[in-house]
Amino acid sequence: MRNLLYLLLLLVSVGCRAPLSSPTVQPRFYPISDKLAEDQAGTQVQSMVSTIAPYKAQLDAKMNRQLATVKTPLKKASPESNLGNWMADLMAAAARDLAPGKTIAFATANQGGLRVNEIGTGPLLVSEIYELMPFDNELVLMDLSGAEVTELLAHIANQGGWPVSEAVAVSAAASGLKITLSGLPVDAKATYTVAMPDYIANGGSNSSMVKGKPYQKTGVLIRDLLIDYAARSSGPIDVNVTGKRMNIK
Amino acid sequence: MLSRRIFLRKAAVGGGLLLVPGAGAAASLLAAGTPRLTILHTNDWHSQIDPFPDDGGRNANQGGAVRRLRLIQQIRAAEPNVILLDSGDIFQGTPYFNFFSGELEMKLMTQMGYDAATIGNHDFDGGMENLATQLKHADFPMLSANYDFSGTPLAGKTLEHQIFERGGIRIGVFGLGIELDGLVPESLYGKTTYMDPVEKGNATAALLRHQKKCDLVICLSHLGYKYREDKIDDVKLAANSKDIDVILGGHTHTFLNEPTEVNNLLGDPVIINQVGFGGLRLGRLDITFPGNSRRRCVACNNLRV
Repeated sequence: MRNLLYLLLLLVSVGCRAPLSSPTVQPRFYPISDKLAEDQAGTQVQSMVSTIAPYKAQLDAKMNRQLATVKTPLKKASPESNLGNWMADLMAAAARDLAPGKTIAFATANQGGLRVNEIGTGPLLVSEIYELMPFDNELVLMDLSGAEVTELLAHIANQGGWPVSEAVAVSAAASGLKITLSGLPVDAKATYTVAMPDYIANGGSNSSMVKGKPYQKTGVLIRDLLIDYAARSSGPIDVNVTGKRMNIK
Repeated sequence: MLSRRIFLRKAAVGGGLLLVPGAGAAASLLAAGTPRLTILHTNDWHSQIDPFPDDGGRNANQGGAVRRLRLIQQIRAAEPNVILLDSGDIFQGTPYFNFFSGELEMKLMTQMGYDAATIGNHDFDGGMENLATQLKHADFPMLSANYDFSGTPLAGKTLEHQIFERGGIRIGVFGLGIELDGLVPESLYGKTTYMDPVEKGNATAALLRHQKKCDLVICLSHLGYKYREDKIDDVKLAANSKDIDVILGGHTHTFLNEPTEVNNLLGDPVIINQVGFGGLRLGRLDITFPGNSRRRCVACNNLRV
């Protein structure tokens, strides 16, 4: 210790800055809440408000269109949620319309691709679909063998459950996963067409089992089809979950 | 060589708003002339320029860039030495990004006075060419020590680390990014090479500590807070580090109610913090350097602010 003091004195005497001692940390966090809005505005704040204004004006014109009314809040959850079910069903419906010659077995999307936790009740605006699905992911169709479908659904279950459309029922049994599609067991040798985001088709969310397989592009962004099909809702959106699609808990 | 210890005082989380006008009270407990640094930080603010929509949801009417600026201004007015940092995923999440590609986010962070940020996986969403373009609107550096951008549009546009001086305190800041394979489409990250964050992080931190003589070494990480599996995260990074004092994290959108302490390879604690997402919170760490005696520092724990 004494040696260290001498060393420090030496350092100071030769004009070097002595290193600072070990730090102590005092943590806090601040919620960015609406209470802050009451503070008086300064020049910097005014300048920021006017920076945002022209961008906001352009967006408001596009984003404030009402598509439908939400009756039951659409909430994201795993392994299954009404938000995920609603979205996957719209993807399946769009896939059927886009490829009338094909039989679409089911649609799926990665859970991480849903970017809001909840869409509240009331008017459903275009902006909310942008927030749900901000990515420019395209809907694509991939033909998979039954064995590959089983592998994909096992990956989905393993990841905690992703949105899947109505045809899918995955349940966890002692012997492993039990999977049916439209009520029938998966035929390992049959071919199934699955609708999914190009992100997954290209191996995203660690979907290595489908990476590199050929797929058919639809040219339609998932966000755009959600906007389109949400606007076609007959009556208020009222989706309830049965838990039968991803019964893996 | 003396073991370096960083001490975390558990106090005053939440309701921080009320503390702003009285922030001087914290200062008055310290001897005059004790160097003090105020770190402010965000992560994953995801283009949330307006407050969240007023739709009855959990975050309804919370957040917003203008409010964040107001808060930062209040703290800057009360504190002499402030550094403002972001841990990535600035882009993607609202139509502002879809239509304007991140231009407004960079302009607003510049107006807020950010000192540095690191690159999150979603900052690649418009492609590297786009990120390079948007960086023209940023007057702060993007730091990444473990992405090699040679031969990409981002070559030469980022820094591994940056050193800041605040009131006699020398602060070394560097960035670490997450593995891109399997997470970001290859078409977006192109020839970017991901390098081992522990190896690059330790090398960069050692450089900042020993050669550049920094008093404090801060890692801006977009690795994620904690994973059950082997994947590298902030907790594992801290445990395998030697010269990092503070890890400001992101990616997992973790709302920590107080920072976590993890002992490094030398048995010294590393502070990890993360403040959720969407610009809902601003994190604050006040760092003081009260002297070399451990005993005195432990006593600091008992100070109530």
